[in-house]
Amino acid sequence: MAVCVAVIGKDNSPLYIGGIGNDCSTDNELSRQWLVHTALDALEERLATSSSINANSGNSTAHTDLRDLYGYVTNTRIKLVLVTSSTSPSGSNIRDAEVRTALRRLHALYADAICNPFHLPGDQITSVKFDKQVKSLILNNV
Amino acid sequence: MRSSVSYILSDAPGESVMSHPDYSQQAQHHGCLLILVKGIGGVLKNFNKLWDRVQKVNNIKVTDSQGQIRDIWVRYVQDYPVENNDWGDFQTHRRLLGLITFSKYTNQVELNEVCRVHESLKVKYSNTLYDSRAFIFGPGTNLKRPVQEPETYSVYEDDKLSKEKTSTCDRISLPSEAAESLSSAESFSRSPSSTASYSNQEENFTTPSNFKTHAMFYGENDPMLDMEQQISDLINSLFWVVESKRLERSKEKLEKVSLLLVPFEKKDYVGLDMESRNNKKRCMGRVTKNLADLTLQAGLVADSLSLYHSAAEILKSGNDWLWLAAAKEGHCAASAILLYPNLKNSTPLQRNASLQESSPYKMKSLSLCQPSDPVRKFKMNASPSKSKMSSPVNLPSDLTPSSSESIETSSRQSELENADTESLASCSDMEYQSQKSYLTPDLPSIPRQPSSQLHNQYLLNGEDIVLKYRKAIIHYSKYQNAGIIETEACFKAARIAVEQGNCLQASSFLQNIVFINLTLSEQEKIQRFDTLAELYKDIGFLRKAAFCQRLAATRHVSVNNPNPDWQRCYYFMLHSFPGHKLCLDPDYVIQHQVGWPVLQIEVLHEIVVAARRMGHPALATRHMTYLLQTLWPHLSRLQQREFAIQLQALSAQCEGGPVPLVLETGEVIPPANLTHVPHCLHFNPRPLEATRTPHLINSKPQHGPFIFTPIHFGSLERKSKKEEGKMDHLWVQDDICEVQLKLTNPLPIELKVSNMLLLTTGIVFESIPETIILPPDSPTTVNLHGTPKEEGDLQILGYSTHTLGVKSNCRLKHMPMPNKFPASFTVSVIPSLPIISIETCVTVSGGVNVFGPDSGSTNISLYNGESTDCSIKITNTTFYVLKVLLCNNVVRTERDPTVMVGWAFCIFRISTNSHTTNWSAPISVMPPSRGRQIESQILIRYSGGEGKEVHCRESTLQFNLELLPSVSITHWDVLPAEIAYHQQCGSEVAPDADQCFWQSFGEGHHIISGYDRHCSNVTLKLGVILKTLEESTKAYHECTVVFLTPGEYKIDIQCSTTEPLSDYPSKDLEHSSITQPCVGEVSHVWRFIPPVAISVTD
Amino acid sequence: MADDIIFELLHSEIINYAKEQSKNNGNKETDLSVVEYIGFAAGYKIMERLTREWPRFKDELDTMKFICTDFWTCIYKKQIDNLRTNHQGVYVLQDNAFRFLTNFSNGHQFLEYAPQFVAYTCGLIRGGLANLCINSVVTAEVQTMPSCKFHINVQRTT
Repeated sequence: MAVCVAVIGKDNSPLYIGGIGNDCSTDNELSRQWLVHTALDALEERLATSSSINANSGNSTAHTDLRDLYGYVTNTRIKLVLVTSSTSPSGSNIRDAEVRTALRRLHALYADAICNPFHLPGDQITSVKFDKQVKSLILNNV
Repeated sequence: MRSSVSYILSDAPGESVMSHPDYSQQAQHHGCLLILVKGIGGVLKNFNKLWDRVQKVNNIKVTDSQGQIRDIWVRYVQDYPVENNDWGDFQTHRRLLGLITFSKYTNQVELNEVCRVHESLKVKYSNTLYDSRAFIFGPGTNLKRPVQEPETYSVYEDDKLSKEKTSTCDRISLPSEAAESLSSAESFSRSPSSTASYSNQEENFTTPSNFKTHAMFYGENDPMLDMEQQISDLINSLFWVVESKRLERSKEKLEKVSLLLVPFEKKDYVGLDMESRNNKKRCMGRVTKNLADLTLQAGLVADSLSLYHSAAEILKSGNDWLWLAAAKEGHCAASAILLYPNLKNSTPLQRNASLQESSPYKMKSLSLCQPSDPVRKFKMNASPSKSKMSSPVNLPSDLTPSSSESIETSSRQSELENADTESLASCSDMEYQSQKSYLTPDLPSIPRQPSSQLHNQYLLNGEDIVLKYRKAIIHYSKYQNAGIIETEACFKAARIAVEQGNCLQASSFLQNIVFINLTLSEQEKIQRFDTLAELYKDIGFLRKAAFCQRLAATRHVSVNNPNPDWQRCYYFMLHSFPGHKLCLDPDYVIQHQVGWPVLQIEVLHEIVVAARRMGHPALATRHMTYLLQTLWPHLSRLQQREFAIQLQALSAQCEGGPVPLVLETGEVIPPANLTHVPHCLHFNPRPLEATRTPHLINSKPQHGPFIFTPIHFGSLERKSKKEEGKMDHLWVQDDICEVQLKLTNPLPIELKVSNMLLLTTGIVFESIPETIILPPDSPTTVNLHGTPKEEGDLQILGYSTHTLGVKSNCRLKHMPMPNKFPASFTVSVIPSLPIISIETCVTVSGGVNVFGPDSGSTNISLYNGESTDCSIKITNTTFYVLKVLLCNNVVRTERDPTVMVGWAFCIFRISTNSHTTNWSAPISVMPPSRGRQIESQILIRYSGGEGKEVHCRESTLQFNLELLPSVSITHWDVLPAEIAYHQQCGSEVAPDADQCFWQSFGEGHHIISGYDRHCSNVTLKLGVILKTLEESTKAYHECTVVFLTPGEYKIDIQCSTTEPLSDYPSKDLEHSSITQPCVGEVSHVWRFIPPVAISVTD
Repeated sequence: MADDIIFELLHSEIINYAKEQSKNNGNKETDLSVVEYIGFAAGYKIMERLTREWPRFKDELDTMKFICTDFWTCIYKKQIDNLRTNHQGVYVLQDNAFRFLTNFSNGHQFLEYAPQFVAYTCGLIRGGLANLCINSVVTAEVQTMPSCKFHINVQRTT
C-alpha cells in the first residue's frame, strides 16, 4: 500500500511530496518530509557506490519500522521515492514488480509535468494536475 | 546478595534478563579483560585524571609458561550492571574480572566506610571477580598502613622519587604529566586544611579486619608513581586466572562437560535429557565456544579463530541458534581484532584502502559545515591525527629491544625507565597515547600480532565478517530475550562496517537496531538514538543522524520522561543542524540554500522552544532571529507574522544583539541579523548639497593630454568591477552626510525601527541614530545622516537596526537576493572645508529686502533707469580661516548682454568663525526699453581649513533681476494728411481719440519727447517739447511732419530726459558698453520700438 | 512529411523572431543567445522524456553516444555521423548533412548565415547535457555547407 510519493531534485531539494492521508503517521506533510528526507542518505550512498549498475531501477532503500521506501533515480538524477506501508491490508508484501511499475509511471508523470511551459526546472512542482495524477496513482496502482 | 550491595544498584531492578545495553561496545572488546574502576567514599576531585591514567594502561605483555609473549588487553568501565555479568558464560568478555577503587578518607570512620564499600563491591561481582585493588588517599603522607606491604612501598617510593628528579625536564614535556603535577601542586597550596592535617599524621588509622584487599595508601597529593605498575600487576594476576581457566577448560573431556546456559535458558533446560545426541552437541559446542572466548581473552587470537570455527560447526549441527550466533560473532570479533588493528603500523593494506575510501566521504560531509562549529573542528583535527597514528614514526617503545627485558612490566613502566635515554621516543609515544584516549576513551588498542597470524585459514576477510555478523544477528533475532545482545552485535557490526568504509552495510546494521523490540528506559532509548546518530555521522549519513538526534531530543522532553531535560534536548537539536543542512552562521545558509525548508523551519522552531524552556532567552531570541532571517522566503505570510510576534515576545525577555553567544560547551552561536525586516529596496549615499559640494581648486585633465585614449590598463570589465560601489562624489570631514534608503515593512503589522545607524569602516564616522515607524507594505524613504570625523576612504557597509527587540547589523553584502548591492559603498572624504552663509540685502523703493542664507537667489525688480544698492553679507560659520578664492559673476540675459551688473573681482580673507564681511555693490540697470528678466549668478569659490590646498567650495548667489519699463508709449496713431505733402504723425492726437501717452511708472522724470524721422540714413529731429511727467501720469503730444518726396519713411518715437538718472560712479558708466552716448544734455532716452513705417505716395 | 517540415519552419521563425528582437533593440548583430536559450530549455525538458526507459549511463562518453544516436534521431531523424573525443572533456560531433543547412545551396555564399542556424541546436545539446548533470559549453563550426561540427567542452567543476 503506497502512502507517499516524493520527487527529489538533483540537488536533493524537495520538488514534490504528496501522499494520501490514510495512515495516521503519514497524514501530514511534515512527517512525510521527515520520512523522505531521512531516507535520502541511503539513496545518495547507493547512487555513489553503484555508479555502474542499474540505479535506474527501483531499489528498496530503507525500511523504517512500519514502511518501506523505494527509490528510483532517473538518468537526470531526479530521485523518485515511493513509500509503502509494509503492513498491507492483505498481509502480503508488495512485490517489487508492482513498485517498479508504479515508479515508472511516476517518472512518466514527472516528465510530462516538467514540460509544462510554466514550470521552471528546479522549482517545486505545483501543478494541480500532477498532484491529482500522483494521488490516483497511489490509490489505484499499488 | 544483591540486597547487600544496594548502595550501587539502587537503579537496577533485579531481573535475570539482561536489560542494560552497552552501546559503546566494540568487537575488539571481545578480547579484553573487563575491569571496573570506581571512585568510592567521598568525592575525589581528581578522579577523572586518575581515570585517564588508568585508561592508558590498557595493554600489557605477559610471557606465558611456554615462553610465548601474550598481548593482554583490558577494558575499563566505570559502571557495570550485575545482570550483564550473568551473561558471562555466554560471552566471557562480559564477565567483570577486576575491580579498582579510588577513595579518600580523613578519619577512621571514613576509612571504615571506604573499606566496607570496596568489600561490598567485591561481593556484588563475587561470581566473576578474580582480583581487586584499592587506591586509598589518606590525609597524611607517611601514614601507618595496614600490614599488606609497607616496606616495599616506601623503598619503591624513594627509588621512584629520585628517578623522578633526574628526569624532570623530560617529563615536563609530556603534556598530561605536566598538567597532573601542576594540578596536584595547585591543590596542595589551595587547601590549607591539608597542611593542617600533617599535624595529625602521627594518628594511626587501621583498616577493618574484614578488609582483605590489596590496598595502596597514598597521601592526598602523592603523585602515585607506582599506580601504573600496580594496575599492571592486577592485569597480570587477572591474566593468570584467565589462563588457568582456559587451560582447565581445554583439558576437559568434551563428553563430560556440563551445559552452559544463558540466564533466560535456565528454566527451559530443567530436567532435560542431557544424554540426547542433540544436547550432547550443545554441551560440546557451547563449551568449545566458551574456550574460544577464553583463548581470545588470554591473548591467543589465532587459536581462538579455529576454536570459534569448530564451535560454530558443532552448534550448527545441534541447532543451537543462540550459541551458534555467539560463536559466529566471536569468530567475527577475533578476525576483526586481527584485521583492523587500527593503531598498528603493519596495517594490512585493506585497512588503508578502506580509510582512503571513506575519508573523502567524510571530508565531503564536513565541507558542508562551517568552520566555527567546534564539534566539526574537533573532527577535522581528529582525522589527521588518526593518520598520524598509522605512520611508522611512532614506534611504541615496548617493541624496542631495551624494553624487551622487562616484558612483564607495563609498556608505560618501560617508558619511564627509558625516559632518560629515549625521551624523544617516549614523548612521541605519550602524545600518541593521549590523543588516542581522547578520541575513543575506551577503545582498546588492538593486539599486535605477528603477520603470520594473518594467514590463518579461519581468518575471515572483511566481507565475510560482515556476512557472518549478519547471520549471527539473524539468529539472535530469534530470541526475544537476546534483544540486547542483538542490539550490541548490530552496533559492533556497524562499527566494523564503518571501519571498512562500507556505508551501506553499516546503515543496514544500524537500521536493524530500530526493529529490535526492547523494553528500555527513556534514558537508554536516548542513548540508543545518540549512539545511532554518532555512527550515522561516521558513515556520512548526516540526515539520518540528524533524525536520530531529533528523536533523542524529543525523548528528553517527552511526556513519558519523568524528568525532562531541556538542556540536553537543546544540544541534541543543535547538533542535528548539519543533517538538516543548517549551519550556525545564517549568511552561509542563505548563500547555500540546500536543505528542506519545511523541516528546517520545524527544527528551528523546536530549538527555539528548547532554548526558552532551558532558561536561556538569549539563545531563544537568537534562534528565532535566525529562523526569520534564513528561512524568510519559505515562510508563509501567516508564519512570518506569527514568528515575528513570537520574536517580539522572546526578545522582551532578552534583547537580541549582534554578538556571538558562547555556549557552555564552547560552541559559538554567531549573530543573526534581520535583513528582511525591514526590507531594504534601495541604498544610496547622497552627494552633499550644491553649496557644500567640494570642487578641485585646480581641476586638471584627469586622463592625460588626450580626451580619448584607447589604451586602458587592464580590461574594461575589470576596471568597472573594481569601481563597484565607489561613489563619484566626495564627502567632507565634519560635514553632515546623507544616505538615502528605501525600506519596506513586509509584515502586516506596523513596525517600529529604532536606532538606525550607518555601519561604516575605514575612517571614524559618527552616525546619527534615526527612529522610524514603517506602515505595512508601503515603501518608505529614510535618510540616515552622519558625520565623517577623519579624511580618507569611508566604506559604508550597511546599516544597523533595532526592531522586534533585536539589534541587527544589516550588511549590504548579506542582503537578500533580489537587490544586488555592492559589498560596500566607498566615499572619499576630504579634509574639512569652511562653510559660508550668504545674506543679501537689497534696498529698493519699497524698503529693504533681506534674503537670508537659505534662499539661494535674490529677486529684485527695478524700473528702467533705476538703481539700487545690494549688499552681500558672507558669514563664515566654521572655525577655519576662510579664503575666498574667486568671486565671479555670470550674467544671463535673454539675448544679448545689454545690462551690466558690475562686480569687482575681489579676493579676501575672512578670518574666524562668525566673522561677517559686508560687501556691497551697486546695481544699476541700463535699460532696454522693455521689461526683461535678467539672471545673474555670483560664484564664490572659497576654501580654508585643512583641505584648502586641493579643494574649495562654491557658492552661487543667484540674482533674478526683473526690469520694468519706467516710461511707455501707450498709444500712437497716424492721421491722414489734409494736403498731399502733409502727413501728421498721430501720437499727438486729441485725447478723445488716438492718443499717444507717455506714462511714467517710476518716479517723476522730466521728459523730452520728440520725433526722429529716419529717411535714407538721415535723422531729422522734428520737434522737441519739454514736459515734465509726474509719476503715473500721462502726457500727450502731437506733431506734424511734412513729407516732401514720396517714399518709405520710418519714424522713431522717443523721449528723453535731461536729468541724470542716478548717481553712478563714473567708472562704472565707462565700463557699460550699453549705455547710450549722451546727446547734448539728454541723459536717457526711451525709444518706441519698432519704428513706425510710413509710406508716402505722390 | 509535413510534420517534419513544420519543425524546420518553426525553427526559422524563431531565428526571424530573434533577428527582429535585436533589430528593435538597436543591435547590429543578431542576438543569438535568445535562440540558444530556447534550445537549452527544449533540450533540458526533452531529455527527461528521452532517457525515461534508458539504462543509466555508464560515463560521459556513454552519454555522448546517446546524444549522437537516440537524441539526434529523435530531433533530426538521423544520427550523428562522427563522434570524436580527446577523453578529456572535449567531444566533436559531426553531422555531414545537418538538417537546418541542407536547404541552402552548397556554396560559400550563405556561409555567413550559418551561425544563426546552429545556435538553437547548440542550446539543445547544452540543455540536454545539463539535465544529465553535465555542464558544458557547446560551439558549432560550419566549413562546407551542409556539414556541421559541434564542439562540446565539458566543464569540470573540480
